[in-house]
Amino acid sequence: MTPSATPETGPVPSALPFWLSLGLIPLAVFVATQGAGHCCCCR
Amino acid sequence: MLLLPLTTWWLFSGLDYVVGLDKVNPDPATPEKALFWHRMITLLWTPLQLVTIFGVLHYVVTTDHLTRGEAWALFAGLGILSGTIGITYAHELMHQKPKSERWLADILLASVFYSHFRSEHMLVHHRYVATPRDPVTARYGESFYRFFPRVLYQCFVSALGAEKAMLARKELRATHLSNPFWRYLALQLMFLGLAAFIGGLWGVVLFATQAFWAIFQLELVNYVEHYGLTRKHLGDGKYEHVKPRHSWNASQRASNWLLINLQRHSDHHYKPDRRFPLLQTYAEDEAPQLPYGYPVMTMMALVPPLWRKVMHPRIRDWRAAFYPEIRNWQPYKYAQNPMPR
Repeated sequence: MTPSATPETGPVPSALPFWLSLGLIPLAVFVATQGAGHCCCCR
Repeated sequence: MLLLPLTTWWLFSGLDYVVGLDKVNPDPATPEKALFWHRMITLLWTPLQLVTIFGVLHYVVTTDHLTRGEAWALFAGLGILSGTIGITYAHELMHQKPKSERWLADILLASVFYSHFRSEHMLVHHRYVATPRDPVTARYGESFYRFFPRVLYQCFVSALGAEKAMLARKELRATHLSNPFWRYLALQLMFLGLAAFIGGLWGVVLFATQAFWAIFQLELVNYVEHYGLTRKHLGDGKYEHVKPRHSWNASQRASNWLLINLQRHSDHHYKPDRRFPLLQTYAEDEAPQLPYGYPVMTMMALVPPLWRKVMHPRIRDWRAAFYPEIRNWQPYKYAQNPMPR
């Protein structure tokens, strides 16, 4: 089946939002490794 | 400790609410060179995930400020991460033609101890989706807690069976070295050995924890993608072709950023090797629409009464819209139609 006309057509989306979404992950991993009440910045 | 699931589930649920839907379809004939930075993100994730899993494992076994419970919770969170990002990216890579990309998919899947997902997905799921032969098409009324143990067993068996059948067609034995299960075994043992080298038995436990939650997350998404949708049985084990209506589509913008357009799932089944930036979305008259993105829907799937309350009216509408001629849905509901030929 061929997809019919969809609501809108437009350019290829920028890669930036995909990169930014992924960029949140290292930050979350870093903070998670610090443990409750043991943030390295607070020691 | 809750930060990793919070990031993937709650933050992106909130972002979806704020940034809304994306119903723009790019030109599917866009040349490959215009997608360089989109491809790069999937290629870079493999080393990043390995460094994250084994780097954090090394950190945890050499630091003294995390209790065992905290370390375990951290690796459960890492599993949600490698299930949400890693397996989604592996899925994108396994569908591509270059061998190097398919190798990266195998490495990512081995790092969550679920290598056979590639065989099951490529040889079983895409061919038999929405028929009784596809284990990962969740049946109408089947809760996630029933679905999960069922697919853990059936996916392995069907993946192995599909590879054996393929070798048999080439007149080769199942134990032939070209069976990818050998590669799966080697890669998985390598990662298990690395975990043991870094952290001993505790390292293996943490690595296995990460793998379990990654698989849990993957199967939660699998549960949502085709829940209750079935292809029409034409008689004698023949089924209609796969159409966009046989997958739930979701246009939520932010979760599609995180999941590299996996929620444009109707189009993925129409063109499985189409790269993620070019996947198309569909209007309601062609594909059923999820009311929310995967982050909300997967959380909802963990509460079966709520899940049924939200999804069952939609499935009844779907049946009435696309298959008004079918009066008896019982054989579809209980997967009692004949196995596809």
